[in-house]
Parts: sequence; C-alpha cells; structure tokens
Amino acid sequence: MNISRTLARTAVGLVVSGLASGVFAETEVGIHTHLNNLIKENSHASRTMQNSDLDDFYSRQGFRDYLETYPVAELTGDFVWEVGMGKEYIGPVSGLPIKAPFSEYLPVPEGPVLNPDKQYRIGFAYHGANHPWLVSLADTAVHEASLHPNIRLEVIDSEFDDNQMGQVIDNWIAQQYDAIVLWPSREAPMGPPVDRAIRAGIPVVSLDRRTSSTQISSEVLGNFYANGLQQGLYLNHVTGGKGNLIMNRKPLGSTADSIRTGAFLEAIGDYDYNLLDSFHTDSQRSVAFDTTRNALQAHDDIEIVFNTGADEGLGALDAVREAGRLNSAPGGKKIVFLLNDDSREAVEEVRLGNIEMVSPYTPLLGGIGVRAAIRHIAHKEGLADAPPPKQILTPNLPMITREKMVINGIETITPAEWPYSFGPAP
Amino acid sequence: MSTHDKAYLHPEIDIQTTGESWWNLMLMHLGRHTLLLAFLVLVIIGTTTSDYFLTSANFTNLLRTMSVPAILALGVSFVLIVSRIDLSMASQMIFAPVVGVTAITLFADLMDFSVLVRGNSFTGSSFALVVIAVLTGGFVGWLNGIGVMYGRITAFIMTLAMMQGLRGMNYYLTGGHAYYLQESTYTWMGTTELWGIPLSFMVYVALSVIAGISLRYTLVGRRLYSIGGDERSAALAGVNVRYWVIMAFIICGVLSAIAGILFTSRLQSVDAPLGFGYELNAIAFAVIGGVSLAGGKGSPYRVFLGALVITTLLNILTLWGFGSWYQNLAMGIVIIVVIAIDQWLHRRSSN
Amino acid sequence: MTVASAKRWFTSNSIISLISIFLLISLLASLISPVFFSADNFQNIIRNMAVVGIIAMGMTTVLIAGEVDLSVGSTMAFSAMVGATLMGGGASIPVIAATLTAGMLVGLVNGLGVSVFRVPSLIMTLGMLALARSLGNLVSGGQSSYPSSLTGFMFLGRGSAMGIPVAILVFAGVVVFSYYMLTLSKMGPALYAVGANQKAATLSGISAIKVKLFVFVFSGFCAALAGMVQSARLGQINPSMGQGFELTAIAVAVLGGASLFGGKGTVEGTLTAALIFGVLYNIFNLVGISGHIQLVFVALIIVAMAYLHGLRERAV
Repeated sequence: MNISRTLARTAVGLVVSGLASGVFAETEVGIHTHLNNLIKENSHASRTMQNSDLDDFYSRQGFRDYLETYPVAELTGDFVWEVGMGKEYIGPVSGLPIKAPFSEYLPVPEGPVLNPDKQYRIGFAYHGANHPWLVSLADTAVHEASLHPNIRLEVIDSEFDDNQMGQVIDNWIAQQYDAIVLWPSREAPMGPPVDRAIRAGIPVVSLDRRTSSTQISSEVLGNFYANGLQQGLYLNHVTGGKGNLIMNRKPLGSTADSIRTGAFLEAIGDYDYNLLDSFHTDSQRSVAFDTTRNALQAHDDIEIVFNTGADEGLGALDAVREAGRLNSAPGGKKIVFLLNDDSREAVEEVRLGNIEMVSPYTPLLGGIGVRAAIRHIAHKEGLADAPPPKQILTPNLPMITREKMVINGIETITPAEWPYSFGPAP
Repeated sequence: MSTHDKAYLHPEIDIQTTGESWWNLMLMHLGRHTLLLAFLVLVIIGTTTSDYFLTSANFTNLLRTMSVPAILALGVSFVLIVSRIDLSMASQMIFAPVVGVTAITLFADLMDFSVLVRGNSFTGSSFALVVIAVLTGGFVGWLNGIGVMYGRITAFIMTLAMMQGLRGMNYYLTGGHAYYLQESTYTWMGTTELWGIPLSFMVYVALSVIAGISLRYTLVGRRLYSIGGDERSAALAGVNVRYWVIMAFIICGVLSAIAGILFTSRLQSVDAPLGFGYELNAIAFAVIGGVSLAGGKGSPYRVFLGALVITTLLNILTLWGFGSWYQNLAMGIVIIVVIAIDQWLHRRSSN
Repeated sequence: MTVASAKRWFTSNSIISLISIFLLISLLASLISPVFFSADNFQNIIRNMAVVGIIAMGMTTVLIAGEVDLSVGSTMAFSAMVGATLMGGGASIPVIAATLTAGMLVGLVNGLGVSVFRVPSLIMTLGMLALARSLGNLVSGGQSSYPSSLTGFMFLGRGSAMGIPVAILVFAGVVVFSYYMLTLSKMGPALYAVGANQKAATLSGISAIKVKLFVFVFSGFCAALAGMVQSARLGQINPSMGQGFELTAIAVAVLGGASLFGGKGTVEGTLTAALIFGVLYNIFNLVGISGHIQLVFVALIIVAMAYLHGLRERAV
C-alpha cells in the first residue's frame, strides 16, 4: 500500500533523475537532442567567459552574433537518427564507396518524381572538386538525382570564385531551371544571386554553409555547433582545462569558421587555456602545413592544435611530423590534435593514435538538398500542400576517439564503429 | 606590320594599295575583321544550339559578365599602348573599395558616429566610397608609374610587386573578413538595368567612348601612341615620356577602381580574396582584341571586340553545360591560336 | 664608408651585393632569434624554399634566353595529375616518369609556339597557364590523389639521405645541373647570346629555335619535379597546386640578377636570391608577422631590390 507507492515513486524518481543526469541521455533522448542540450548549457550568448583573453578574442571576432542566429532545433518530421542507418553505394563522382547516413531523412520515393512526363533541370553549384569533402557532397547529390530519371542535375564547380558562382546562378535563371542547390563558400557574396533566383520563382536550397539571403527556400545545416562544442568538451576532459593552443581555421566570414570556432571557444572559455595564434587556412592542406610550420618555428611550447577541418588538420599533422615535434609539448608530451570532418585518412590517424579526436561532419548531405529541392518544386507546382521547412537541421553526430569514452554524457564512437567516413582510403 | 594597321596612328597617310592579289587583300581584311566575323559565327552557333541564347535574360547576363573584365582590359590597354604592362589591376579592383570602406569607417570613428551595423555591414555614404575608391586607384597607378619611370623598375616587376602587396593590404585592412555593402545606392548600381542593359555595361561603354575619343582625336592619344611606337624618337621629339607613361598607369588605376566599384556593387560585398586571377582575363581580352604587347597599337574598340568574342564563347560553353575547366581550356587555346594566326598573317602581309 | 663608396661597392658586382644582403639579413635574423643559427633551422629554410627554388632555376634559363614562362604553376599541377593516373599500379617509377614527361611535353609545346609560330612568350605561356590547368582538372576529374602508399614517390618529399632531406638534395641537383649547363657546356653561351641579341646570335650560327625549345623543356621539367616534391611533402596531389608560383619564381630569378629583357642571369644569383627569400620568410615567422602582411613586406623588398639592381646596371 503506502510502501509500494513509495517504492514506485522512488523508482520513478530514480529514472527521472537518471534521465536528468544524462546517464540514460543518449538512448532515451537521442544523440541529436542531447548535443542540443549541451549547446544550450555552454552558450555564452548572455554571459562573459572567465578566461578574459579568450573572452576578448570571442567578442572581437563577433562570434556571438553568428552563434545567436544559428539554428539549434529538432529534426524535420520527427526523424530520429542512430549510428548504422543509411544506404551504401559507389559515389558517382569520386568512384569511392559511400555509406550515406541520412538517406532516409526527408525521403522522396525512387523513380520519376513530380510530373512524370516532364523533364526537370536542377542546378548544383559548389566549389572544390579537388577537396575530398566537397566531392563527397557532390557524390550524394548526383546519386540522388540518378534515382529519378526525369531529373537532370547539372553540376558546376566554381573553384572558389564567388563571382563565378553568381554568374553560374544567373545563367540558370536565364535558362529557367527548376531549382538550384548550392554550397556557398562565403555568405556575403552569395546572397544577391540567390535573391535574384527566388525573385524569378526558382526555389533555392543551400547546403552546409549559409548565404546572406533571407529569402532562400531552405537551408540544410546544423552540425557545426555540435562539432566545435565537442572539440572543446573533449579538450577539457583530457587536459583538465589548461594548455597552449593554436588554431587552423576556415576562411573568416564562412559559417564553418564562425560556428565551429565560436562553439569551441564557448566550451573552453571558462578554463585556463592560452591562445598562442590563430590562422585562416582556406580549408587547404598546404596552407595549414605552412601556418603550422611557421607556428612551430615561432613557439616551442605548443600543446594543442585545433583545426576546423580534416584537410587542415592533416596538413598540420604533416608539418608537426616533418619538424619531428610530435612529442614536443612541455613535459615531453604529445601535441593534441582536434579535427572536424571524418575523412578516411583522419579517422585512420585517430586509430593510429596520431590524432586524438575527430568530430564528424559528414558531407554526405547532397542528397538531402536535392530531395528538399524536389519537394519545393512539388509545392510550387501544387503537387504538395506544404514546402519543406526553411531550416532543415542535420542530425548531430557524436565524436570519434581512439578508445570509447563518455564525455559529458556523450558516448564516443571508435574508428572501427564508424562506417560513414568519406574520401580516399589512406 | 602593314601600313593598313597603322592608319589610326597617322590618319593623314593614305592607305596604300600596292596592287596585291585579291587573296592577300582578303587576308588583310580578314585580319582586320576577324573578330567581328568570329562574333557572328559564335552568334549563329549559339542560336542554333541553345533555346536560351537569344533571350533577353541571357543577353543581359552576357553584357554584365563582360563589363568588369572589359573595363580592366580597357585600363590595361592604355599601359600596353605605351609598351608597358600592368599586373596589379585585379588587386587594385579590390583595394580601392576596401580603402574607401576603411577610410570612411575610420573617419566615422573619429567623429563618433557609426557606419557599421552588426560588425561588418557598411552603411556609409556610397558617394564618398566611390570618390575615395577612384582617388585610391589613381594614387596606386601613380605609384606604379613612379616606380617604373623614376625607379627604373621594369613594369612587370613593379606591378607584380604591387599586385602582391595590395593583396596583402586587402587582407590586413579588412581583417580577413567580408564587408557587406548594402547601402541602397550601392546596391542600386549593382542591380539596375535599362531595357535589359545592366548599368555596369553602360558605364563600360561610356568609358570606352571617352577613351576612344581621347586616344584618337586628342593630344593624349598622339602622345601615348608615339611613345609606344618608338619611345626614343618620341623623347627626342620633345615628348615628356615620363609624364605620359605615368598618366597611362594612373588611367589604368582609375579604371580598375571603377571596375572594382561595379564588381562589389554586384556582389553587395567586398572581400579580400575576390578577383583572384582577373588580371589575366583582362590582358587576354586586350591582346585578343589586337592591342599589341610591343606597344603603339590598339584601341578601345579593339578591346571591346576582344571582350565580346571571348565572353560570347564562354557564354555558349556555359549554356552547353560546360563548367569552368572547359571554359579555361577554350580561353587558353583561343589565346594561343588567335595570336599565332595573327602573327602568321602579319608575316605574310609584310613579305 | 661614404654613401658613394657604399653604392659603388654594391653596384660593382651583382653576386657580391646579393651575398652581402643575404649575410646582413641572416645577421638580423640571428639577433631576433637565437635559434636561427641552428642546423635544424637552416634545413627548414632550404627545404621550404626548395620547391620555388627548383622552379626558379628553370625560370632563370628561360629569362636568360629572353623569354618568360608563366605556365610553370599550371605545369606543376598538370604533370602531377598525369602521373597520378598511373598510381593505381602501385609503383613509383612509372608515376615519376610520367610526371616528368608531361612537364617536358608542356615545355615542348611552349617552345614550339614561341620559336616556330612566333607567339610572344608572355602570350603563349599565359594561354598555356589556362590550358594546362584545365587539362589537369579534366585528366583528374578535378580530384586530388593521395600517394602515401608509393614509398619511392614519397621519398622525394619526406625522405632523407646522409642526414639531408631529399627535397634539399633534389634542389641541389637542379642547381648543379643548371650551373654546369650554363657555364661549362656549349648551351650556356648560346642561351646568353640569343637572349642578348637574337638576330646577332642567329647570324653567328646559333639556332634560336633549338635554344628556346631547350629552355622551355627544361622549365617544364623543373616545374614537374617541383610539383612532385611538393606533393610528396604534403601527401596529396592536388590539381589546384602551384597557383601564383610563377610570379614568385620570376621574382626570385629577377632579384638574382636575371632580366626580363634577356641575356642576364646566373645560377648563383638565383640561388642566393632564393636563400634571401627563405631567410626573410623565416624572420617573418620568428617575429610573428602573419601570412598576409608578409606579402606586403615581400612586395616592398622586391621593389627595393629591383631598384638597387637597376642602379647597378646603370652604374656599369
């Protein structure tokens, strides 16, 4: 009677507090929502950091503004993602085997779509066919389009020339294409062409990075915040909150740089780190090689190298190895490498112990963009009631470390357990 | 070079007809009008292969794509006419608006008002921006000219150094990030069209006409062509070579600045890495148009033809779905082949 | 020492003035940082300049012959991508051979265009710049390759022999070959003659065509070689590599005494200029000047040194 009710209440209380303390967080709430919660916990939108140098850096570079407007929300259509989901195929552009994790997200059935008698032309504008991450983005987009015979996807690489991408979009507007999917390198210059396309009645979907357009039909994004945050949380976990660090970042003004670096700083901002230097390495391996090599010459006490991408991180690792300084952190300790982007080479280096941690950001999103574009066309042609949401969040992904760890309630993934790496095998 | 091609230099000289065979005469005319013919051929190809070639939207795109590089080409043609070269135009194109934004922002800071919203959105006076940019272009051109004429540094090296230096300055002044330029007049410049003709093209045509008139009918032209034709004779004849060469560089700088304003107004932003490699496009336009690297030859009309032909070719390739790799391939081949043919024709006609 | 006598000493011999600048800058560097005069640091400096240095050697011979080669950056990428297509076989030698052959082929086309078809080299190599890069993109599908499994290839960039990094040895090899070619073989004087006065050289029996073909093929060879060293160092063959290298190579060669008008230039001059650049970049890093500001300083130094060279030439 009373005892059993008390026992029941205690049991319920235990379960609830278990949930609240995050012990069951991953399995109950899902990794996406759990990371969102951690993001909110660590946000410095309304408070300053305790490390005044880091706070100064954070404010001067305006991270707060970018982070505030970055969406942190639930997935569309109540989609729940777990490691292991997704389709396997050979990438049509790169020829490499791919397991695309999100092929069931925002689904569009295989076969002819929309009006089966009509041929639809969709433009896919991106940069960097020579960059493994970007090629994989194209892979998934082209694969998705190949599932629908009445869709022709035109893929154009603008080689990081923003003006050229704008011209490409203008050309598609003149040819009255049915939809445009793009990967913008920088936000500012891509706003005007996207606005022009929208005004011409063409739906536009951006992938991964954002444009400065407020009228864009949909943006597929979301993982940057969790990336940077996990890099910071991992670092706190292994160093106990102190160390000398350098940063190899993506171009200033790009979403990837602002959100990842900002989130990283938010996670470490209350601790005793010393920021020695910060570089922008254009996502290029050779540039990160040069900047890291320069930094090694200028500082002999580097302990941590933070990288906002895999290519940068590998370039930095090459530079450190060439200089023979892998274990040159004070006390003869190994320099800690933090990376984003789960390229096969990077994940392999984690397995070998050269890179400590990789926070995945899968490029295998192109398919989502094409499916969102198809749904927009459907809405435009009256074949669907509602268009897809303006912000299509991609599932947050847990970090990869050599051995399994639990950090702030996140259960990390080991290289052997992660099937989604992109790019050529090392 | 046949006398025919030097007609613009000395309009008082009769074009000599030496009783050559009709074949040679035809080749001479061909050489003169190759570009127009090429353009017509391209138009025919474009119309027959794409439904969208002759549309007003495509037409507008073509004119707009052409404008900025053509203004740069117009600028460099002045320098080429005096037998020099300028590699710094593309960097100047970005440097001029950057200096404008930086200067106005500094001034605003001193006078305690704000021209920046959200850290990097510039809302200051567009008029001031344009004026400062143009002055900057002229100043940089003047520096180039001083280095070449007083420092006696080869133009290639001087402008190469300027190009690299300005690129570094662009990154330094912008702090590596973009400035949004969304003030209404500025964006109006980038978006406005009249009967499908973009403002940037109209500005280009106006500049071309002014340049063409001054080169053909005024002292400016006579001086520049004479220096390009034979610098020593010109100096002996009392021409102030230093003054006029520096003037050519200044004109190039001013035109680069104007190109930069139109360029950034289209993108509604200015950013240090923009415009990389545009100097080569500009030189290609000029050279294909017939502006000689040796100096003393060329006109804004030629530059226009060169720009038109190349841009139309690239436009057709785009409509066919060929990306920048094929376009650069085409550009490379066209540059080499056109000049090779041109040289062959010249050697024939002078034999 | 008066200003006039300092000027005279400076202008009397180009290589002496270059070496003295190099020593001055090294002194400055050692004052800034105690680690400068270490074997490690010297190795770093030379290794970092090796790639540009190799290209600059090829560029020097082209400049001596009175031409210019703007296509070297694109040739680097194109030849590397051609070599990369053979990576699947797993052996380094075919890849290396194919890369070098592709580079020489590009050089051959350049040479033919300039010598036989009389296209001015600025235009020919400008067109080739666009052409070679796009061909490289098309050959590779625009994608990077990763040669880390080819041990022979990787040795070029990451190995060392007798304690000296291979990259430096390759650079030294190119320097020695260039020196031999310019000073001890018959080709050398022919190059200078054609560059100084092509008509006179032709009249005295030198084949300008052969000379020009040779220098462009050599330049292409150097570009391909440099591309391999760079790729091996980075573990990545990237089709967009080498952009802007042509201008740096020209700057190094010209500061070493080569002239865009032809007939001038030496291997020791280019080598010293490359070392000066290397030390300069080293100083920048030690002082903490960031990459972009480095461009500004380098530009100023180029202008200053070009001015001094000009003074020297007019004083003679």
